Amino acid sequence: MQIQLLQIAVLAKKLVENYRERGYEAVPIDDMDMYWVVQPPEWTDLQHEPKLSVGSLKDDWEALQRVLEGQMPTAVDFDRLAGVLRAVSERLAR
Amino acid sequence: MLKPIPTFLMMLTAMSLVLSFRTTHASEPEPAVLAGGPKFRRPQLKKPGSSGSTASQGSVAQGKNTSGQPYSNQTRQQLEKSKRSYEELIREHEQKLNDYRKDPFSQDNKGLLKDQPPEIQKKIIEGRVRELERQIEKQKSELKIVDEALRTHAGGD
Repeated sequence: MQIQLLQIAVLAKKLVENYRERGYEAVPIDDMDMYWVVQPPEWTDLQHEPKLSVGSLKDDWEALQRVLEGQMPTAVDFDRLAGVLRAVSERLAR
Repeated sequence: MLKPIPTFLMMLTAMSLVLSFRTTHASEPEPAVLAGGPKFRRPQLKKPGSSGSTASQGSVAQGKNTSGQPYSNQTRQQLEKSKRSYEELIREHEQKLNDYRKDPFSQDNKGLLKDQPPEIQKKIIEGRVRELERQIEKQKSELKIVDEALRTHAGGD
């Protein structure tokens, strides 16, 4: 399996446009912040119980806003966006 | 307080724009973030058994391929700018980690930490430290890639 980065963009656009058509414009996640994370390489090692790390949605979103403002994105921003996407997914299905 | 996400579409669209811009305009300065969104062309998947990397896969293939040589199409000026950005980000994150170690409760935005029993608090604090350390490690790894690209850069511009 090879992930074409551009396909991530295409998928994101497709998902967002579809949910906007359904009437969703904003997803409030005010009551959420910290969340458990399993870091690599443990997250794909199912033979062992992983150590948990803790992400912060507030921290993630603030850092992503800085990317929107022009700061250079890094690989960490993919993790941050993943965290935000999970929170949004949870709220969409609630 | 975490904002609701009125800019959610903007964020994803902007990331889309960055990705497509960075692959098709790699020699230009960093793009401005626009809310309008690009026109997307559906990239072609690599056919099973096809040889080579991504030579016929649309704009992604014409840009960077992480299985090849990332940053190879960047100018020295762009690489130096990236290096400075990574160094700054690493400094910021190290500061953030130090601040958190000194007073984890100061960043307890929702009171999720203070209301926990001590053993859970310990797990959360250790987990947060681990996460911040991991973020720094990741940024340092990317900085190394940029440094390597600078070392092997064929001079010029």
